[in-house]
Amino acid sequence: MNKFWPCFFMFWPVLAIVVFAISPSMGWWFPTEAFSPLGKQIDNLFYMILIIVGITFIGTHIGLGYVLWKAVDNKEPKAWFSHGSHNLEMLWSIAPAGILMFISLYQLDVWTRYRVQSKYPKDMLTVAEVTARQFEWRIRYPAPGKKLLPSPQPDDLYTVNDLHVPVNRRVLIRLKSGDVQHSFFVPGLRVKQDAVPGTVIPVWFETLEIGDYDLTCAELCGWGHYKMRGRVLAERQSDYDKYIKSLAHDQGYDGHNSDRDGSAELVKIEKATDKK
Amino acid sequence: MRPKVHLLKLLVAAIVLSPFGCTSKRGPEFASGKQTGLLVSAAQELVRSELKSSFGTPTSLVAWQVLPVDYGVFEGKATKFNGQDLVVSLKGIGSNAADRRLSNLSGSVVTNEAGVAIGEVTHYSPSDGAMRLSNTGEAKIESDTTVRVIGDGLQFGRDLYLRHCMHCHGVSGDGDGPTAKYFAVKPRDYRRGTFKFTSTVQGVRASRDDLKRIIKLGIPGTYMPSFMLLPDDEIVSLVEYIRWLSMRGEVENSLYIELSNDFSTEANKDKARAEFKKEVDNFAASQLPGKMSEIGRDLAETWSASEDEANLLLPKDARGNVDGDSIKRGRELFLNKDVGCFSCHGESGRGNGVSTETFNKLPNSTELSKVPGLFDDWGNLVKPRDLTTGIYRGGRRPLDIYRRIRAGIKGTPMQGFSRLEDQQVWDLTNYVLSIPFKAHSESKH
Repeated sequence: MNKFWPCFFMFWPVLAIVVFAISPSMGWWFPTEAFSPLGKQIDNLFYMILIIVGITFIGTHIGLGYVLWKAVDNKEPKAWFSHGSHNLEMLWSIAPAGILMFISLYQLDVWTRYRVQSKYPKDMLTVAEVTARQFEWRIRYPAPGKKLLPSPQPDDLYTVNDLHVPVNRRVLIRLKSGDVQHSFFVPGLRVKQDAVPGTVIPVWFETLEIGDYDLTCAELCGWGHYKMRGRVLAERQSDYDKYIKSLAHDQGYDGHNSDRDGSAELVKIEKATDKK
Repeated sequence: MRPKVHLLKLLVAAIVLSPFGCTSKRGPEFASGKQTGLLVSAAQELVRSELKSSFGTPTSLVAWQVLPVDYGVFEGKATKFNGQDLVVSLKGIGSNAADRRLSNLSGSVVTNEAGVAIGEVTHYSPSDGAMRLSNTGEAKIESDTTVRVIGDGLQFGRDLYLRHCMHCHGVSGDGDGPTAKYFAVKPRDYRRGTFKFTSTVQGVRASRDDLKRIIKLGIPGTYMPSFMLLPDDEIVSLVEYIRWLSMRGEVENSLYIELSNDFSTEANKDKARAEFKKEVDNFAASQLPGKMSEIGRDLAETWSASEDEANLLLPKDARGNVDGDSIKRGRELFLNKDVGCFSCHGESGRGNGVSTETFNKLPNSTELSKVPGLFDDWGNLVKPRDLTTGIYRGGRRPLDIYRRIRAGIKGTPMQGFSRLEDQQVWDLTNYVLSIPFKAHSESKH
């Protein structure tokens, strides 16, 4: 029974080592891998922090276990009083400070690319304006071949909850809110940005693979918060152009074009779900 | 030691009571409409029982075959039937779409070759086609005959409706769900069968495609969100359920109209209760079956009309060029006294026309409203659309605006303009679509 506490405290670092060892093969890391270059860098930051706290956790617990183990047979009645040791105080102040300083400097690059507008990549395509409102994402694209302007234009294209972007390309959206605070969250791309009423926030990302990525609201915005399900669909440039063209066709539809049968009126939205 | 005993009692009581919970465990129920409440109690009872036998309850739906609703049908060949267990091979099974439907099968009705209901499905195993039935009657199924299993689509629609729509639109589609009270713009009450934004001509109801479009795109400027990402089969089932709910509401209303002459509380204040019972029973026995089939026939006719190609509103002339001249002509029409757009929408399109400040006739009545403004058929005070915002509830395509002008917005004071020439409607459309940009450039100067 004397050895219970040393064993108890030694069990956790051992468990941590086992978990660390088997996690990669069991898929116990992030729910999905990141599908954007910046997302991969963000993941690497998380991994780095995980390694630092992992080593610290294992090291301190092994130390604690060791001390307890040694103390089981210790018959010395008097303890060693370490309070006020200048060297020890220096050590455990400077070591964490150094680690924190390292983390803060190391992440600067990623943070700057992600959030500092003057350092955004230069070759970006501004795809759309996304307006979050209770409880949906309203999307405004520029007309084919045109640039997105800050104010609505007569030939702008509108859709909802379904953001198409060309794959392998740095794209930028202008994020707005129509009412309260929302948050544009695409976990698969590691993008999360609050939409703040009264501001237009540029958010950029790049997708590495064709596919659809869940878009959710990550800021409790009201009773229907859960209803704000959308998607970001990354597709080939040619498919993207085709999609924008079909939107333009739909938006200009006057019921008198060649395809005047009733079903043609639903072309756009049916196509959106077919692609899944 | 006394407190400890109390604590123990409390603990025991809590454990014993916890499985029962605090809230009532009743499932969803269809609420009666307001008008039904105006009838004497015997007549109310009759309306309720009639609705229950024709439409069932939310947990046990009835598929009234007269109505033009696609309830979802599986056809199959019966191989064995012993009065309760049916072995049947359903057609089309094996495809993903059909297998998805199978999970909504329990509760569906099985009919034999003659169309007579045999019973309700309580269990079905797709591997061997064994089906267990409940509520079975005398009717028989010969082996190797065709059976039909009806109702999976409606039940699927019901489940989806309760999940996505009920909290605003209410269990019975009365637009009075638990979240409805927070809205300035009221959720649609389906029970009149009227939907605002349609592709059909004046006087005709919404088509399936119209409802589908609204569900997919939502209604900007209101609390109706977009359900763009729901799979197509879910939207189709939802549309059928919503149409069915509308028809249920209309049946209730028709029965009220039928009964209100003889059995309204208002007109029968000094009659004895027992008398009603007899008269209502009399009515139920002699006239009701005929009336119900008449109501069903009418519903079938009106709702089928909205699917009729001939009632789809499409312009004869193309929109043509959108130029300054067209916009100018549109502006002139907008201000024209005979057309009169400005009287509601205001001269600059801000939705502040003079009718918003006058006492107008209430819809379907000769009475004037008690407060100034415009009222829709549901009795809500409505504002004419502010056309400077660039938000178009019924869609922003030129065709959508054309249809709003041509056929009106159903159930609202926005009437259709059937007298205008096609080109005039396009001029108006072009003008309306230009208003937000004009307002914008004006405010800049």
